[in-house]
Amino acid sequence: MRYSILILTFITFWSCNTVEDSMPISNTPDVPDEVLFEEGLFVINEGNFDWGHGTLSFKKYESDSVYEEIYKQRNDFELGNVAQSMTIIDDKGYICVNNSARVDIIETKTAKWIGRVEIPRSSPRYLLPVNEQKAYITDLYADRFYILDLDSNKIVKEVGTTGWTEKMCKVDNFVYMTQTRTVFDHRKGGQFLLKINATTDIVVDSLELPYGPIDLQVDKNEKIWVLCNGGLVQLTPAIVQVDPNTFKVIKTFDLSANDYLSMPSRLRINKDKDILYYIQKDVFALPIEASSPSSIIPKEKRLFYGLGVSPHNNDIYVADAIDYVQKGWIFKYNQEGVKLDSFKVGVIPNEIVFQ
Amino acid sequence: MDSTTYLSEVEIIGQRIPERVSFKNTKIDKEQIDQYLSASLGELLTLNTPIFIKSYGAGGTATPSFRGTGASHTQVYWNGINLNSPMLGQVDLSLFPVAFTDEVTVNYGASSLLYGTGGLGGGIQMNSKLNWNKKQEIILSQTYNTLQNSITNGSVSFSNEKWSSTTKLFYKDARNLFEFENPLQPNTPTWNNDHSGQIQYGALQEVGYKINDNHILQGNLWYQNSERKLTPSMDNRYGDSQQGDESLRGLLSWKVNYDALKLDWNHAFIHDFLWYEKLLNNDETPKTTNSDSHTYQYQSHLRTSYQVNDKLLLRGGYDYAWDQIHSNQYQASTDSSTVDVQQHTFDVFGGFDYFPMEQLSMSFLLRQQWIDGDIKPTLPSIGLEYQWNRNGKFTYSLRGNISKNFHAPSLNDRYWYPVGNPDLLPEEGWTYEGTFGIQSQWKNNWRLTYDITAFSSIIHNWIVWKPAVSNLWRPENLKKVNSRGIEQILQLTYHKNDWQWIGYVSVSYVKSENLEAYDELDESVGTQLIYTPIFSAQGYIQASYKSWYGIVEQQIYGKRLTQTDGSEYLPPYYLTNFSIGKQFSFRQHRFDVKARIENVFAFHYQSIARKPMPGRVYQLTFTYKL
Repeated sequence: MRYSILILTFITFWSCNTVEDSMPISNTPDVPDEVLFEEGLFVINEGNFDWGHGTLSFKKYESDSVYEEIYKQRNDFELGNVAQSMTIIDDKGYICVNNSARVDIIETKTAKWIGRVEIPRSSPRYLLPVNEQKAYITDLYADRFYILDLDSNKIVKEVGTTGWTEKMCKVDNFVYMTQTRTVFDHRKGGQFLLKINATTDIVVDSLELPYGPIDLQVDKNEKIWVLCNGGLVQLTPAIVQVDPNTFKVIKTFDLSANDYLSMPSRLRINKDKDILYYIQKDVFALPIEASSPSSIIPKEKRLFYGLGVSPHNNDIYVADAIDYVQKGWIFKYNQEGVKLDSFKVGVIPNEIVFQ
Repeated sequence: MDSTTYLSEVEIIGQRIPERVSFKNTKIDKEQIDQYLSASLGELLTLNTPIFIKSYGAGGTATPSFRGTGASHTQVYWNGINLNSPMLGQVDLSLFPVAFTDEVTVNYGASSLLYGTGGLGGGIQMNSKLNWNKKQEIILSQTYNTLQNSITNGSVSFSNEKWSSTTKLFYKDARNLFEFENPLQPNTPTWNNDHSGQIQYGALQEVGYKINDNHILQGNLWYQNSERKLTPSMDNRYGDSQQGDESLRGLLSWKVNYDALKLDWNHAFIHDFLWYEKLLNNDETPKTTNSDSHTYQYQSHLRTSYQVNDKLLLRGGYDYAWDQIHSNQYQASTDSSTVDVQQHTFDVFGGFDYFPMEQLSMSFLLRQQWIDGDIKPTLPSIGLEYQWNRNGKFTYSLRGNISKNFHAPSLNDRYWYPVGNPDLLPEEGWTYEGTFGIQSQWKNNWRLTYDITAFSSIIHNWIVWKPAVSNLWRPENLKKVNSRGIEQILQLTYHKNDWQWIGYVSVSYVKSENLEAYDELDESVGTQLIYTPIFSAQGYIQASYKSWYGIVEQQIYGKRLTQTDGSEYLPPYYLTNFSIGKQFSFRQHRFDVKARIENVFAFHYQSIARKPMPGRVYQLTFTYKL
């Protein structure tokens, strides 16, 4: 009896593994300590919603080496899920981690974690520096955007909108922001380009757009191009050119869709800011003066998910997430659509960020 | 064991239609179930069968993986009624209280074809046994544990010549509260698992009426409601989702029992209400996503067997199900109304068990299904069993069977807006199985049974949800899966004077892998399916001496991949539980006090990646019986 009490006491205070031993183990090779993440591109990999984890991959322009899970490797903890975007401001990278309700900040050169902006129950999507002091953060669900103080890394203000805020650009002293509504939202309307005074943070105007404005770019003439995905039901995808001064639509390209499978996504622009690119099954190019888009990279057996165009040499990078439960791939093409390279990255590659 | 003396002798009037010879099934009987009155069916199966249960956190959804197959490939039957949701195709085993069943039979692989299609992994039957012993019995049981969970059970049963009635009540207030270290966050903070609470309650009424010695009418009514918060991942400090599962099941059956003829004719009505809500932002009245689905089902089953002579048993019957789904997920959410989807499934089956010699037996069954009038694949299954040395110390047996089975796409697979794919093909394939068994006679107080089974099946058109366009997931017939493995089960029983020992071990080795790449970059080929362990073992030792008893349980699971290319996996885990109890009597009142420690070694583990699981849990159960 005495022994059994002893044994019981012993096991009560004894635990045979540590919490670290219970964590998922990845087969990603170690990144040597001396590697710095310079002169290359980052790939933001979402990771599986809820139980997965977002990862950062890095590839140097002039070498074949791809470094995976650099955030986890340099910090010993994970990025969270779903990693949506990274914005580089000077030497810092601001990573919006949407389901984890936060923005994590790293030093891009080392991938070392610097700090975190927690916004409870938010779903941060994209971040745009507005001036030296502040940045705007959009949110998938909250009907608002946040104003981040870049010195204190604190949210100093919230501005209400009437829908999901997504992509932003700045022209002169105004920030332009797309606003749409998620599939869960039963309200009608609300498909806008918002015009926000960058000094006062007040929404000064809104422009009604075709259904689903989700991405935008500014061309060399400082005109704004907005990609509208057309929605699941409405099936009216379009690309719209907007004059920021008059705040009116200049022209509209209808991207006809027969079913939801031809919903377009991702709007990118080349180095000279005169050719737009987007995904609609294939990768399409739309020169800003052209009368219609043309397919330059056929989809074939791929399912294109992410898209990036190098601001250095116009190379086009396309991401394929395979079955979305394994490591994805990036394919690199030149402007003519000739395949140059491909490399494996993390789970669900979403955004490609060029240094 | 002593606790068995607490059970009244149950006189079984409606001898059930026998299971098929040469097909594998195991039974968890009432004595065993009585040890786990406060547990869910998932918890019981995890300890007593080779079925791997994947759990989404404490109190969370628990889905089975049987012989390396998916959650929808295990069919669950309650007194012959299929409980798999026609929407999801699967069941949540955490929702069935063990206390509401009297007997659990596990049908491995094609053994489930006697009850229906779709059990590519197998089937689980929860059966009720009415008490005809003309005595009144009352059971009250209360369990507390250090997760701040409280589980209350009660049951009253009585019977006379003509009538038998059993009433069962269940109430669970589970906070599932524990602290855990979180290495996914900077500086590994300690977090509280404070978003896993569950309130579950239910009532079951069972009534039997004996028309005469050979005919019984039986009615069962089961209401149950569960509301729970869903455990967030360790990446997320705040939980934001909750789920409700409410169901009402009514069953009427007519049982005929002659020496030769046995018949069981069931009619059931089932209403399931499933809701899910996710808070989308931090407003005072936050936006939510809501999914509400009502499932209405009528099922009718006829199962008969007829013993023609000593050598031949014929069996046959039909299964019919009408499903109607009323859901806001089957059409565009811009339209806030709901839409109805219906489905009729009709099966006929027939076959025989044949015993040409004393040592040799065979079983044949043919099943044919129609869904909405469309004829589905014909499903033959045939098995042979040879036993020898039947009068010796050990009886040996060899069993082999070959069968075809298929699993129809669920209604979500077909109709979920807008990605539902009406052109999906059923998952189908052949299974081959062979078993060598040893069974000893009672000898020197010992008894031993041992089975080793090898099986292999290739399932074509395996359905996978995969994005078809940015972030819109759609079901497709993508994979061809080969699941094959070896299962061993050893059971030892020892009786002497006041001592009784029972030892049980099952060890499984199952390779379940995709054979077909959907393009040249897909690295899932030849890789074990995610969240499916190759190696698993479970076992227990029960010992009882006079009024004392003790149980040690052990579970071991090998590594489980979390990504289809094998690029990430969860390490193996080992769980040990220990229970000790004592029974007291005072006149006709009987008491049982049981102390239990779950996860004795506080082993850190995860069932789903990044979902926290509890460490050591202390539990106390009081049971009163009259």
